[in-house]
Amino acid sequence: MYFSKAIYYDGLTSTPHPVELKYDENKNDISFVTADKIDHSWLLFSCIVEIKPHLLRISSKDNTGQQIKVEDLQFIYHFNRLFQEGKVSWYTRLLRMNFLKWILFISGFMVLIISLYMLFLPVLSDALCSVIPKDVDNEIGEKSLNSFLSDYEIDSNKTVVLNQYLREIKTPKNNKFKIIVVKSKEINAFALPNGSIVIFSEMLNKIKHSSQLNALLGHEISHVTHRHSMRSLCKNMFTYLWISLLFSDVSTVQTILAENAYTLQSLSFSREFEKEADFGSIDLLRQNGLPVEGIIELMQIISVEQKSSIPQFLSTHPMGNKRIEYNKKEIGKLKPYMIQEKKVEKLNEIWGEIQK
Amino acid sequence: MDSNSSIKIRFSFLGTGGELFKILLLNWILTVLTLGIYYPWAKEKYLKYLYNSSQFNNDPFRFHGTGKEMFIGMIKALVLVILFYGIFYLLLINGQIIALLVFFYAGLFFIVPLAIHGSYRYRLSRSSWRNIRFRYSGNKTILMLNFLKWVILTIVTLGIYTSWFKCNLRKYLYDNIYFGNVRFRYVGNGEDLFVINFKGIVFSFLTFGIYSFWWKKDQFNFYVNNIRIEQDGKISKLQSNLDAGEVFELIVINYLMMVFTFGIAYPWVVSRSLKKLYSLMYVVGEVDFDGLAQNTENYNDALGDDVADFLDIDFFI
Ligand SMILES: [Zn+2]
Repeated sequence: MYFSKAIYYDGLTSTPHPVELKYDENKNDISFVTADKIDHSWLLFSCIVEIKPHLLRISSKDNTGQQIKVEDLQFIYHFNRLFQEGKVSWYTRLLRMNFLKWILFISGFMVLIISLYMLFLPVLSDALCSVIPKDVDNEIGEKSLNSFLSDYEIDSNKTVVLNQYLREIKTPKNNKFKIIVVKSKEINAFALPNGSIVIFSEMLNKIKHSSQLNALLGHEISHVTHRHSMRSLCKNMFTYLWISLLFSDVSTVQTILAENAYTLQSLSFSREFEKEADFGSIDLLRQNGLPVEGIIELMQIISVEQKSSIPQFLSTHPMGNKRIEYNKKEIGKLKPYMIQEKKVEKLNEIWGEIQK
Repeated sequence: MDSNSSIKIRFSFLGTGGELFKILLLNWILTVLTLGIYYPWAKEKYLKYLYNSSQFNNDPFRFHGTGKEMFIGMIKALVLVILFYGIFYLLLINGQIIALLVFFYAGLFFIVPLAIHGSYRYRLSRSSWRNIRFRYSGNKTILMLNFLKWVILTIVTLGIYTSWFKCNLRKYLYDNIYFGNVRFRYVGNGEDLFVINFKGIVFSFLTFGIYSFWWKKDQFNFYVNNIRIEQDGKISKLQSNLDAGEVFELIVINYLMMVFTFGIAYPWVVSRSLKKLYSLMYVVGEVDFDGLAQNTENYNDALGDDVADFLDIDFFI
């Protein structure tokens, strides 16, 4: 049994009533008598107890709003040691976890978030992509091309001849492909979702043989036929959506989307997409009856350029050796097929014109 | 004559950044895991902690709202917002730009005062001190009409009216706040706030922004020092004596804390700011805060609070 002076608030007025408080640790209750001679007895199981080092507050859980306040340190010490708490909510129990449990709790949450992300992102983004009509690809590609071309000068002679070259190659029917050559010291080439293939003039200078050009065109055409741009956009969108869900901020998604939609050339594909485009290129060349060895030569050119400090290419395409290896392996798997010598000759002829 | 009239009754904040951090972290995790559905309950926990940690005359405030109430409010607010955006996009797609602008601003001028009204009504009816409830008795039609009038005056005067707008709005809101058998008053007037703001703009410009700390201090003190509490003709004043150095310290340190921890320090920023501001505020005057009596009118609508959440309106205008 412990006793202390306390303040009682009756819930109807703000007037502090001094009372003599009795705490019975066996019955787990507190009791006191108010000035109007009424006996009060509260079972602690049905009270809200708040303990601060120098202050104890006990509120009744009924709706009367009655409260007891104790400032006697001795009493608070014993009370804190002995009193039995009522039902504690799961939320409070979580808050009271120790440091180690908190760390485990947070890591568990992080693992869950990341694995849900890894699991659902490809499924969701491909599902979204498949319902987006091809017209959208064309429109985005068109706008993106226009905004890109405003910063570059077109090499119209080479563009005309290269398109002539492209017409000699059989391409998948559902896309219209065209080539645009721009004057630039960068070694780069990219494809837009509407079938436009942009080749930088310096890239053409590095190419030594028509079979290497075939490999490059096959690669870019495969990017288009596999809708890599759209799939990357969808992936990015879901990533941003995910992040914004985490930080409950939707406006950033809108701005990032708006910024990204029309700057596709800066969109880097995942290594998985690049591999798919390389294999697509092998497939396309085989169907055309063209030799596939140019792919390895193209990779070698690129990997030499990568080493001589061209960061842009480095960031957008997989590292050299590994890429050469998996392409060699894939070529090794090919069954022998007829090389269409006439087509090769024709392409060589046009290639000769380009090199002039 | 009255010995009580010179006693300062103080505010204090007993919360800690650590406790606040745990609550906010747990709330964040639960909200993410439930795809946002837990948000109202998270808000309840957060507000309860803030209220419980805020003391006046050594007794805490209490928040009696529940997550369930706020969840219903959130649903209503969501419907309202979706409806608003739906009509907005419909007009946008059909290219009716003039109708769109009219709708947008009319809607905004309708929703903002409604949100303020609703959030004052809900939040105050769920707030108490020593179990004496607060109450807001403003009328939403009057507030909306006034709001419209003030907005038009602000536009017509190219923004000069803003100071009067703020004071009028505060006056309308505070004059309708009751606390048991005590009522609030706001006595600040637009001219004084205009002088503060005019001085603030001119000197901040001339001193390359250094004066803005004095400006902020003046604004805060003007806001607080014009709040009155009335009880049967007896009057008490709310007082604050924030100085420019303290504003500087609060803003700069808070900013550095946020930047260098990528926002993780937010709970500590909140707790230290509240500690500082509460410690500078007190009530002085004739009102007997031990003699307040309960006034039993309650409201049951959390709509406003959540519309205010959507519109990002600060609860205290
Ligand atoms: Zn590629």
